[in-house]
Amino acid sequence: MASAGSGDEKAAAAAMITLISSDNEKFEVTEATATLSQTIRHMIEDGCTDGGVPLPNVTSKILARVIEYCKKHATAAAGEEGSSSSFSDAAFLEVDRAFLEELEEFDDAFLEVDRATLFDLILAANYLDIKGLLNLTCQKVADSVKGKTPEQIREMYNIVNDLTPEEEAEIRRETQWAFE
Amino acid sequence: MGVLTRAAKKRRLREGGGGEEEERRLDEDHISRLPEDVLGEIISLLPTKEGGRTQVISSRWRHLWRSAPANLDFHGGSGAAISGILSSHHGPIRRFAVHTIYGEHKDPAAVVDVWLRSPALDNLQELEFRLGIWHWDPPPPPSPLPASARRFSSTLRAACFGGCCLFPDEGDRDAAAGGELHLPVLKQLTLVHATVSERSLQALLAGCPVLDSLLLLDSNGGPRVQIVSPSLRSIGVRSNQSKNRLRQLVIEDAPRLERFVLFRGNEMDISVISAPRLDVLRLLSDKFPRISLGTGTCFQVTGSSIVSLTTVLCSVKVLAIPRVELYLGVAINLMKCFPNLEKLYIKTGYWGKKNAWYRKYQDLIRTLDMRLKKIVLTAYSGNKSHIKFVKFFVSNARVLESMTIELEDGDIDSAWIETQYRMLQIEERASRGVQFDFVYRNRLIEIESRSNLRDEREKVHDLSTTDPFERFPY
Repeated sequence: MASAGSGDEKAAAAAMITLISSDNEKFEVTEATATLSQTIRHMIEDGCTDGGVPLPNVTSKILARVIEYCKKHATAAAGEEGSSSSFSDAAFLEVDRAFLEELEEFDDAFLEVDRATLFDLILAANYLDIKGLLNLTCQKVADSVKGKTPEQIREMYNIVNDLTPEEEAEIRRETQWAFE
Repeated sequence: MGVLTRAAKKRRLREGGGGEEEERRLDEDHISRLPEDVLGEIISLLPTKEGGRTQVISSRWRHLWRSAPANLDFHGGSGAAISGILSSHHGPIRRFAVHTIYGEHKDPAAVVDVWLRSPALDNLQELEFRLGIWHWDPPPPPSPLPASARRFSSTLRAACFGGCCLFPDEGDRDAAAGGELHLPVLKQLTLVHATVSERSLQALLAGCPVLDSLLLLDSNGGPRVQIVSPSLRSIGVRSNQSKNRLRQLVIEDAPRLERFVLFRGNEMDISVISAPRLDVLRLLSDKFPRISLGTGTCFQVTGSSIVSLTTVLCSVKVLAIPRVELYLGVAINLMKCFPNLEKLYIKTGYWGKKNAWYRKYQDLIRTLDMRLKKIVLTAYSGNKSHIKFVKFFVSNARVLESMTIELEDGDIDSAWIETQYRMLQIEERASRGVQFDFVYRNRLIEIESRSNLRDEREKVHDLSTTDPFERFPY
């Protein structure tokens, strides 16, 4: 796979996969885009994508966003596969960097969504097993709670504190190093 | 306690009537929709203490931290706390970093050794520790690398070993008999205040086949080390005051080396025998190091030493020199030594020297074909020798795109700038499109960045950029 020549890549690009959202909307995507999802990649390998891939856990709204992400990143993944060695050519690195910068801008813009959508995206990325998207969205959540106290985190995400005061005191005692 | 239970919340929402869907989206505990392994990933992205604190958020969060993959970073903190964490976390721990360990521990190496045996650290990817030995007088003999550190040799990707002796039993015996470290996946290595002899470093490099970057700070194992590495892309060095400090570094054979960064410290000699791809270079000052290239040729950027053009560093494109007397001779020598230079970062002393010998080199200047695109010059004072230095580039660098002149003191007003423009003959500049800026530079930034090796690490280990000097201080 890693050593696929340009001829094979063209063939892969031509193969289309149909993804079906929970609300029955159909999306046609290239195999290169679809296989950013490990879940879909395995289905393709097992030859069970004829007639479309039903994704009962993902709504059309979220699936559209996920596909947007995969399309953009599929090109990047193709580039990485081309150079399986970690030592790349200087010229290649130069081009690579410009593209990575563009990708970073795309990711920043991609994350400009409301909280409900962000968590829907995390769930979709987790279900579809899209590592890059999962890392990106989890980092966004981590950044949002960074520097906050447990009380502030509860408030921010409407988390109900169901610990008894005794339990909470016990945890604080056990984890004293974290509260120093 | 005034805290609504989930059921009470739902009830309240139902009673709310209209806009319920909207309210659900805003008010729902979205984060609890996530499966535990995803929440664990998020917790592992938090700083160590904050990760530990998430245990009191709610009963569901209570157990997440213990099994979330963790990065444990301790700046200070008591030894008892670290032991406590290591025994309560179930692993996997990806990164374990304890910064400086001394004071409360009589034998810091033994303490680290015990920590590293903790099962939670199995398959550790990043390990960092510095044994604080150098505050004692007289200093005890350096401790060997804790034996338990070797159990991560097949998984370590980044390592920082501080204050220890790499192969204590070498000397009488062959290094091989001391038990070499083999670190097959290690990419980044930092050795700080370590006892590294020429032979031990050679053996270590031979055992790290995919090492990308090496940062060697304040080594005290002997006067000379030699670098032979087919994989290294970046090297950083700093020499300290100690009696047994490093005085000479020989880059014998480094076919992939792109970056060499010398940090502020004591003088040392650098010999480059073979590094054909070296394109980013930071020197200490114009006088040190004496750099020799190939066999037998030595040069200093300043002074009357003229380099023969066969030995120039043709591959270097980015150069930083943070301490240099500015005068015309330096400019000319720089261009001769580094003919393909594209970016130059330079910080000057205040006074400079006479520029009397300009005429002598006029013919030579005409033959220089400068590729310089960017110049950043810090601590400019606008005196005569500074002006001549800058004017040299203004009138000869044909493809220059930007020139930034940074001032540290004094007042600049528009009249002063105008005078400078006239004296620098900006009107007659060789490159029409150059962006020319005078700016202030706050000295405090430079001082702040020196703490905790952050600056050194970034410059040497971060290979994602072609120009590590873009962010001040260079």
